[in-house]
Amino acid sequence: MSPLPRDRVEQMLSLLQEDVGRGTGRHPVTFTTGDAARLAEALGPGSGAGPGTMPPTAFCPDPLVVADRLGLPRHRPLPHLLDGGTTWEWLAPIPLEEEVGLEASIVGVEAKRGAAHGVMFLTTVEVTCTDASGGVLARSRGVSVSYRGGRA
Amino acid sequence: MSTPDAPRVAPEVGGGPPPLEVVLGPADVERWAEATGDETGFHLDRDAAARQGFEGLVVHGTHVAALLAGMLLSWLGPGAAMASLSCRYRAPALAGDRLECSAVVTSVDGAPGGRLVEFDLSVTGPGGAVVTTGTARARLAP
Repeated sequence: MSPLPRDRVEQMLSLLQEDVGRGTGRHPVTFTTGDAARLAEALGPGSGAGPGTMPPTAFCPDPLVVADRLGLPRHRPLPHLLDGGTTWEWLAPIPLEEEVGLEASIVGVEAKRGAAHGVMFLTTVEVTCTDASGGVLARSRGVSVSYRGGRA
Repeated sequence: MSTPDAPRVAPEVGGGPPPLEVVLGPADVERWAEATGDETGFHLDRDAAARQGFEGLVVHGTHVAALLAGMLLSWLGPGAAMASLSCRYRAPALAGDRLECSAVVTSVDGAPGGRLVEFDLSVTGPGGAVVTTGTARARLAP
């Protein structure tokens, strides 16, 4: 497969970067004890969840999936997608059985050239969890990697 | 791995929890996909995985990250809470691979509201190949 020309990469990058700052707005969500239990069960005995609490990442187990569910389209400029990494930050306890808010936005797009896949576009998505007054309880960021093909 | 009722540890730089060895099979991957909603083909369908160049079903990176968080909290004991966790997925872990999750304490700080412990994290797969690296901060109970 021939490499993407540099000017084509820059053109694609420029278009993708127009989405930086695009967001979903706040969606009300209530994490139930059932949700917490399901994730803890999927994780197994080392979930880090105690009675009545949820595993730490349960507010946003995968920011790329949560952002998609909140209505933020996932960038796919090239045929394949991978999850490049995830960050979580917890600022305050996230309550169970109380309404909180989740919103997602695109916070960055960059292009990189890798040895295995050639050009890759990396889109960083942030999901923020807020309380009823808008105070930030937690955040998560995910990096979606779009590439042309081959083994990762 | 210690239980939630285990006594608190006294983290020291260079120390850390005993490595966690885990094998996530196809059923574990499927359960995680159902619980999180990430049903991307290469996690659940061998043909889809092969088309993308993988030699087996791919374990979710977020699954491994969540295991790391659980490992740290279990070691730190009751009242500990995660402050941050950052993971980079450097290579795919495949269903059935034996994974070794490790954490090393890099600093212990007496912050207000509870001591803050920082970790370097790594997950290796067959042959010692690094599949995930990361850092974490956790707060001990005051």
